[in-house]
Amino acid sequence: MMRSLWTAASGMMAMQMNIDVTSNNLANVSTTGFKKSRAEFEDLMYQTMKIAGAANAAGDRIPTGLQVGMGVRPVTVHKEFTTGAFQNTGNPLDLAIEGDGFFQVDVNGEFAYTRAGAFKLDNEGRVVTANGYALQPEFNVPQETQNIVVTEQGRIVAMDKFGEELDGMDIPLFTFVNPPGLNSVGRNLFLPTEASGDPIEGVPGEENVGTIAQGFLEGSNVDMVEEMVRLITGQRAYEINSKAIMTSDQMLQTANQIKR
Amino acid sequence: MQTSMYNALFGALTQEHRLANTANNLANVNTTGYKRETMAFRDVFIRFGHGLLDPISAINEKSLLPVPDEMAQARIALTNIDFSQGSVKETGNPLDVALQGEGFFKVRTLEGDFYTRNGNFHLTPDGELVTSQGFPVLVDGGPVNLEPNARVIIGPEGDIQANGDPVGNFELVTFDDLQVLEKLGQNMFRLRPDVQVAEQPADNVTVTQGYLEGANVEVVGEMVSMIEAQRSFEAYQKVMHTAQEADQKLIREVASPR
Repeated sequence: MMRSLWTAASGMMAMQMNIDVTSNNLANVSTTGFKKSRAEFEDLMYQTMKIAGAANAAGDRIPTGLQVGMGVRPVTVHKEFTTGAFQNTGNPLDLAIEGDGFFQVDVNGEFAYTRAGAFKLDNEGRVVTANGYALQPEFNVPQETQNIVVTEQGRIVAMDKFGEELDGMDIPLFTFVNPPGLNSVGRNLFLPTEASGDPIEGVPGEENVGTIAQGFLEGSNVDMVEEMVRLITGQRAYEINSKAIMTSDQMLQTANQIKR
Repeated sequence: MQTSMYNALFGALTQEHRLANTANNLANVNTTGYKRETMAFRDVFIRFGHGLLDPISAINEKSLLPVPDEMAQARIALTNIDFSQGSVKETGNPLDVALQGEGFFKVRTLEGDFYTRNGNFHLTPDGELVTSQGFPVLVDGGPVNLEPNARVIIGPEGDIQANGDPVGNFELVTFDDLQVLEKLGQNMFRLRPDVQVAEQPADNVTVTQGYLEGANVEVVGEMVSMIEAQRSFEAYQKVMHTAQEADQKLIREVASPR
């Protein structure tokens, strides 16, 4: 009896996590460069019980292939790096990556990676993210710049009012062998881990690294319909597992009434 | 009296196991590649003790006791895994693979090769194709490494292409009788330790990229089974209670001084 109680409780906890992950996806439905997460589950270990049955009248013994499972647990919550929808903003420093790459930014002396390419200029003319993290390698836009052009191959050029090039730089993009292994640290940033592998520097336009689209931002890749369906299935699974707990509880109550 | 007490006790224990099984199916209702389990019951026949008594004790040619007969007691005999197809749901992730039809992926663990229907695969930093637990999935008999950033295309036969170059075929296997498999958790199956059967290549299986196979648990059926188990348990409790009352009455009335 207690087994089914704990089994159902594991089901409720797993579904709780499912809803948590889904809520986070829905909360970030309008976050630039956000990648949705998905919780994956696996069944827990099985108890193989050998019920020793007496031999019946015919002398047959009872077969003993009897396993009872112990419930469920979350095995991974992994990010899906499919591309989100592109939104045309027309802002010259809004860059979207059409491919697998990431921008490298400097977060307090540490390299972090992002796909949210809504760059700004800080008071020194550096290209930075909305949080003030400088794009790496750093690019300083000269004072008299009128126009900034970014090519598909990642060449960023600052021009004056006569169309003369003042300064230029190639923006590198970085890829990972296993992007779902990246550590999400919030603020649209990812850090490399043992699981993701080290960043591999690439040139935009080569080897699936992706090209850069100026004037566009990549929206989140959250699909509302999918998340809604997951909310519904998660909630219903939560409910039926609570029913299993109630049933176990009522059976315990019944057992308690055997002796009055 | 003792017989009915023990019958009811075994019946109640049986229902308890049944509930544990149902609870496990329900807990795994959102587990990728989960296959539900059913319990099989079996009658154990026990001869009535009065078969030993004088068979001709009768009043007005009616037998005093019921005909010596056999009486059934339910016991759980075994659990069967129901290998029917679960519904497939789209994820869009190129390394998610669903199997439609009879077949299993082979996974290499430290304890040997196991089987799974869960096609939620990942890449290690070295580019090796592994399950969520980090066990390599077998392609052409061994683990496989894919180039970084490769565009992976998986065909309906289980053939894998990376950037247009063939990498190999998923090793998809099946067995004559799937009931030789047992579960060991982590979405994996293995051969029962006491059976020796050869695996065969799975022919009637279609591999679909970008999809995962859900659990084949039917919630309604499990709910009904749960209600059944609960009500039978209550009925057995009543039987025990009645047996107990009859015992008490017997003791009270036979043993009371007149």
